Amino acid sequence: MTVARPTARRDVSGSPSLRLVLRPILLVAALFVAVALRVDMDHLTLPAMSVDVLFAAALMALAVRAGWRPSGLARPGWRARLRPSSVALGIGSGLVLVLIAEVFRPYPALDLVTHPQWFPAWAGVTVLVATGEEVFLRGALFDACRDLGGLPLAIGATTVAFALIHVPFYGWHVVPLDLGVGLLFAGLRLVSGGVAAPAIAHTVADLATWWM
Amino acid sequence: MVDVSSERRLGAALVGIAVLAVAAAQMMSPFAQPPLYDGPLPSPYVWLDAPAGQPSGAQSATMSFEPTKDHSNPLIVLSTPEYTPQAQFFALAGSFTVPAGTTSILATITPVEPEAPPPAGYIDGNVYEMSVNDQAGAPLTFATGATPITVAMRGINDPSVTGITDEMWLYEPGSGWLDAQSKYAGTAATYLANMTNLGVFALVAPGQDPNATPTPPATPTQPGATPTQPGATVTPSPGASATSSATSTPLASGTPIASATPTPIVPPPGPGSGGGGVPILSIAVLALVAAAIVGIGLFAYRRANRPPAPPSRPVQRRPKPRRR
Repeated sequence: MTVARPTARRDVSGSPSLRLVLRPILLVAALFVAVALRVDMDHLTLPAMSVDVLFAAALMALAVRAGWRPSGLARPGWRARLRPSSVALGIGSGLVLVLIAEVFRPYPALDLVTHPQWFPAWAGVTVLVATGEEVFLRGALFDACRDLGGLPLAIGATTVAFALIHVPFYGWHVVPLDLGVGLLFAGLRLVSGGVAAPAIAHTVADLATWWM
Repeated sequence: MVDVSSERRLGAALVGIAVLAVAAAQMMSPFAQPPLYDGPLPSPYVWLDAPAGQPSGAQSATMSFEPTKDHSNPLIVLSTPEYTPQAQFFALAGSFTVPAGTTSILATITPVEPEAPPPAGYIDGNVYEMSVNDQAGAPLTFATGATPITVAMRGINDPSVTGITDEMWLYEPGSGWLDAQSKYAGTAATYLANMTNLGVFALVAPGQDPNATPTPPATPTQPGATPTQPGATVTPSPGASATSSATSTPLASGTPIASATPTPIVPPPGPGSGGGGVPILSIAVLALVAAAIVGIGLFAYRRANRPPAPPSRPVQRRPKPRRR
C-alpha cells in the first residue's frame, strides 16, 4: 500500500529547506528545556504531581504547535479514530515490557507501599505524561526528523532523546534500558502508523509499576 | 511517496529486536525496580524542620489493629501519607507478642527531633519514631524467631542519581546511634532495613549537610556509651532495652540487629558499578547493537524499496528481406 505523506507547510519566514532543518532542532531544544524546567520545578513547593501535569501539557502543546495532528485529523473531512489494531498492539507490547521486567530483573522486587488514595491521581498523571511524551517524540519529532533525514534519523533521534530525558530523574543506569524501549516504541510507530500504539504500550508499562 | 508495507516490515523487525535488547538491558540493570519509563516524580520531601526554601509539615501516621485470637498481631503495614511515603514499616502477622488483655494494637510513625547528631555524616531528612503499642501505650515485644520487621525510609539522596548512598541508623537512648544495615530499595531515595525492634530511625548521609552549618562531632549520649562507627556491625547490649524510651519497642533480648535478615535483601551494586556513574560500557554495547539493528533494518528497507528492474526490451527481429 502506498500513500502520499502530507507535505510540510511553508514557513513565512524561511524556505522549506531551512524549515526542515530548524524544526527538529527546535523541537529537541524545546524538549530539553521542558525537562530542565521539570527538574528545577520539582524542588518548588507545588502540589504533588502538578509539575508532571505541566510537563505533559507542554509537550502536547509543542507537538501541536509543530504541526502534529492525530492521523485522522490530518486529512480534511476525516475524523480521528483509534484503530483496534493499534490498541491491541499497544496493550500487547506494554504487557511484554512488564513481563520482561518481571522475568529479567536482577533480584526480586521489594515491596514498597504507596497510599491507595494516591492511585487515581497517580494513574491519571502517568497516562498524561506517557501520552505527552509519545505525542511529542513519536509524533512531532519523529515526523520532523523523517522529513529531514529519513527513517534512520527519525528512529535514532527519538530513541536517543527518549533515553536521555530520563537521566535526570532515574540516573545514567536507565540509558541502556531506555534505548531499547525507545527502539521498541519507534518500531510500534512504524508498524501502526501512528502514536496510539506506542502511547498505549508506554502507559501500560508505567501503570503496571504500581503493582510491581 | 512512502511504501507503508515496507515501513511496517521495518517496524516489526525493530519491535522484535528491541524486545531482545530490553531484556538484555533489564538483566544488566543494577536495580531491581521495574522500569518506570515515565510517570509522576515523588513529591518534594516534606521536612519537620525545613531548610530555607524547602517545604515543611512532615506528617505522622497512626493505625489501630485488633489482636488475633492467638495473642498476636495481624499484618501491620503503616506509611506516612506523602507520595512517595517518607517512612513506613511492615510487620507480618505474629511479629509481636501480644499480652493477654490487649484489646487494641496501635502502630504509629511520628517525625521527631533528633536527640543527638550521628557519629559521622549528617541526617538526611527527618528522624522518625516508629512504635507498636497496646491500648495503654506499652510497647509490644518482638516475638522470638518471628520474621523481622521491614523499615523503609525515604531521604533526599537518591544513589541512582547522586551516587551518594545513605545508611539507616536506629537511635537507642542507652547506646546512641546503631547501624541498621540498610540497603537501597532501588527507587525514590528509599532505603530498607530488616529489624527486630522499632524505635527512632534516621537516614545518615556521608559528608557535610548541604543545608546547615557543619555539625559538631558526635558525643556519647550517656557516660560510657560509645557511638557506633559507620559500617560497623552492632550488637546492642541486652541492657539497652531497659533504657528504651516508653514509646519505642524494646529490643529483643540479646538479638543482634544485623542477624535479623531471614528475607535476604540483595544489595544493589554501589555507585561505581552503575548506580551513579555513567555505565559507558553498557551504553556503548547497546549503542552498537542499536546501530546494527538500524543498519539491518535499513538494508531490509532499501531492499524492499528497490526500484523494479526495467522491463526487458522486446527482441526486435530484423525484418526478413522481401522476396522479389
